[in-house]
Amino acid sequence: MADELQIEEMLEYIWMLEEDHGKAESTLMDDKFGNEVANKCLNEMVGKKLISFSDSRIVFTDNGKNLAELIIRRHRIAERLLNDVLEMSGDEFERGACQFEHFVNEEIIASICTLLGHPAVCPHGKKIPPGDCCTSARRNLGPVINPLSEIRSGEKVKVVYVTTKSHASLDRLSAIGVIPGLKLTIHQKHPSIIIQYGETQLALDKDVAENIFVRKV
Amino acid sequence: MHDIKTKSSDSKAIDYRIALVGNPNVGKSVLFGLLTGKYVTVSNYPGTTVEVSRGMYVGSNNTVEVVDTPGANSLISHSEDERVARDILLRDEEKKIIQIMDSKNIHRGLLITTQLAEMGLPVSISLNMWDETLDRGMTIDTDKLQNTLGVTLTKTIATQKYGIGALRNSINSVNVPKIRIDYGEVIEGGIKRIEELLPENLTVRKRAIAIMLLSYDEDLEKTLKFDKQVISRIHKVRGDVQRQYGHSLSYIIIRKRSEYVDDLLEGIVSYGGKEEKAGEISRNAFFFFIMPLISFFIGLKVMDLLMFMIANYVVASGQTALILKLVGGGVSVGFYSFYLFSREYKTGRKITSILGALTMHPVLAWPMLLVVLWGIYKIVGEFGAGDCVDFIENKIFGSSLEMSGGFDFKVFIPFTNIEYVFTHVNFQGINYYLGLLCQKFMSADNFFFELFLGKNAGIIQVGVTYSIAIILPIVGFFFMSFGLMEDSGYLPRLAVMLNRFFKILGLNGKAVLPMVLGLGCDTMATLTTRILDTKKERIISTLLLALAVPCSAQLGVIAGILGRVSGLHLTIYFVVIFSQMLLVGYLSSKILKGTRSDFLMEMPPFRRPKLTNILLKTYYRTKWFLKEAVPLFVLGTFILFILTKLGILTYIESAASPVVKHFLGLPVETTKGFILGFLRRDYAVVSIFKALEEKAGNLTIDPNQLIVALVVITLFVPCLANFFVMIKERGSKTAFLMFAFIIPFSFLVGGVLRYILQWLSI
Repeated sequence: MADELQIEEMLEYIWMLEEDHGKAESTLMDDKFGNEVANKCLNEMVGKKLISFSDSRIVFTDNGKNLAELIIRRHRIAERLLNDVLEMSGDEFERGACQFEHFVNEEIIASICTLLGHPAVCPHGKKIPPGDCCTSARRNLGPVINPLSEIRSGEKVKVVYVTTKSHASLDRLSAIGVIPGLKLTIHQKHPSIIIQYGETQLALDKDVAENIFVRKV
Repeated sequence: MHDIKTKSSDSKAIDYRIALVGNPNVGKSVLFGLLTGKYVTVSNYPGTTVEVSRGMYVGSNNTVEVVDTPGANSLISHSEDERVARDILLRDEEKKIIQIMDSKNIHRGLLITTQLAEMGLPVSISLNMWDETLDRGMTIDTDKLQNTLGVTLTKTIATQKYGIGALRNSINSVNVPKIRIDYGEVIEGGIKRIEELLPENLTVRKRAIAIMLLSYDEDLEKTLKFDKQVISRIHKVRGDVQRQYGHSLSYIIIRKRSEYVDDLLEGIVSYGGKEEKAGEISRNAFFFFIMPLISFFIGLKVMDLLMFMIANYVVASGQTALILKLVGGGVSVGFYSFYLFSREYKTGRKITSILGALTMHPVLAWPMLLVVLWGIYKIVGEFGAGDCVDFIENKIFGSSLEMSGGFDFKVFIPFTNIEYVFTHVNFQGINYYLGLLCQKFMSADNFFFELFLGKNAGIIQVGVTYSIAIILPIVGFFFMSFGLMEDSGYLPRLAVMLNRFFKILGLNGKAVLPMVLGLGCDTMATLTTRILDTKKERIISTLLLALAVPCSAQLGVIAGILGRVSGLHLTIYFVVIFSQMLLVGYLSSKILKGTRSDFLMEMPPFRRPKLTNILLKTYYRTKWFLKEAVPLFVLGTFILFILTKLGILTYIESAASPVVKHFLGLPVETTKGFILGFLRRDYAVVSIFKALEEKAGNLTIDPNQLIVALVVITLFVPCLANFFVMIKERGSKTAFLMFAFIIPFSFLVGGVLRYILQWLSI
């Protein structure tokens, strides 16, 4: 019987292939995991009805897809946690995230996700599949980190991380001083959000504010 | 776009250049003016300097040139401004840098200093706006900072010319700042590897270029003209380094710099001092007297405007109207006072900061905006376009054939009927005297007399008179109000207020500058659309300016004419124009490819505007305007004259009449007005109004006809000058496409409006 971990790794890899290329060729699996291991695992996965083959392509079954989604979600949530909150860098955090995804259960991930304010993208800018905690309105655990757009006016907060889609926006924000660690006050929220830090007042769109994650101080 | 070529024809060799560098809105342009004696537009609005100004250093005997750069928060190009600033610094010439900082935002200023240090450029630093720093109770230990950086720091207040002498002296002792940031092993390794790839002939230190390349400055690769192989190697190094980080490298680098500056300022900046508070007397006067009075007036005026809009339907007698207005005023005093006393009274903030917050308040700012607009209309539309134009047109210029009858030189006391007439001035108008002079040589129906002084299309009688008598006062007063909004800091606050509205149009709050300026002159506004970040935004704003933003000359005449006819129709006019702006903006934001940039704008503090700066600015803008407009007026009138003489006008009139007569339901005579619209939009309004007036004879004009005509003429093509600028800024293809869209569209809207009005039987 193939290793449980190995199967999870493969599901994750198939997911990423589909995400990047739209399809997963089985030959690519051989390249990544080696011929023998790949064959053995893939067969077992077919047996467990996680995947099926159509020609040389690997296709998820519904079960397989759900499972893969959970694993990807765990991995990327872990990345967020390690990168932004624990501030690990480079290889260190990547390795951490890889280990992380295999031993945490859904409940823990939901709590972390809530703590982080339900992030939508990982530090590499890839989408994090939303879990129940993100979609349901019930929030048992009040998030510690929130997008700036959800903070009430008058509150003092500290920037934890910034996730904008484009380099340009991120750079512009950081050039005027909005970087992790910055303490700021929400001056007002309508008609535009205005934040105040030091002697600077900055007006910004809700779109931008949604990408600035802060922690109350 | 931005030409930054050096003139090679300079007769004297230039010893060196001084480049003024700094964040946006820190006062570079004011200092430029002080150092060169040359005026450039100065305002309390970030990003005003779009073109690079150059001038000679005063007292240098024309051997030292000063260059004013656009404000930049970083020397890595994110925007046009930053690109221009960076390119000036990279140019191969002997230069010294004066870095200007807003001293209360010293942290952000020093971020730029770190980059200048990396480039290895000699710098002298001006800590500007020193007064505002003191006001905020902030102290900066400049001696200590000066020692650490090894660079002269000069405290300045540029607008008061404080510290300028010392700054001038410091130019002789510029130094490269002693700053060395360690970006960590990984990035430093990357920097070394890139340095090895760079050619030897760079104008600044390799380290700076390497860091910029690591920060994803793609544009720099083009500017430096690296060959493909080098670029791909650089990309490889960058990829290797990037792999070690979860965030973009540019972000990591800025964070490192920021941390460095934090450490640098440790123990140098403190907030120990007492914050300057407004004097007890003026503060109380503000809370207990001035604000209640202003807010009462705001309420009164808002009520008044509301009643004016529906005047024809709700007949409020004098007394009810008065009571309603007073109630409006009272309610308004209640609201504003509640806010001020509950939120601001105890904080002891300065009056300007309270006003700054109030003008962005989600609710209370709107009535204020309405009253500001009304005030501008009063000054520009009524006083400028009404009284001043009447006087200059009829009395100063007059008619070539008839005497103007002279005018009384008098004073009067406002709100009373008391007048003191000093003397009657028996001046019959410039044109009349010119006419008299010409009639010595020729009769009044001579060809040349008609060409220059003819009633319908004489170049002097119509062209010159119109441009100076009508346009000059209107535009002058508009620029003055605009300057006031700009320098007080109201304009960026308007951007905050209107951001959501602009988002519907595919723009963002930043577009407020060209749009409001468009109410003054669309031509000038089209030029300023380049402050917008993306191409899509520039195209949309150019289109909307050409289509739906009436310039002050036109607006003044329209509001004057329609306001006299009916308040309801004036409202309908605004609703129609506004809805077309929304519709076209919305559709083009969906159709056009490209992106909208995010709204991110620094709010400058609310300041008391300086009268001299506003007047100076108005003078320069008006002068620019006249230089552009008068020749076009003369040309336009000349074309009109030829068209009339050759009988082409009647031909076009009959060709266009089906549309004008049957679809718009207007008399054929108004066609001439629409043709005039190509030349000047306001000119067309007057001409259409006169045609309708003549047609109506003794009867009153049908307001529906008037409003249809005015809507068409507003939406109709921009004036010739604006069209030329559209071609220049957006390229001829885009400009002609817009032109081809606007003409049928404006007639369509006019026709539809006519039938809707008929159907509603208004």
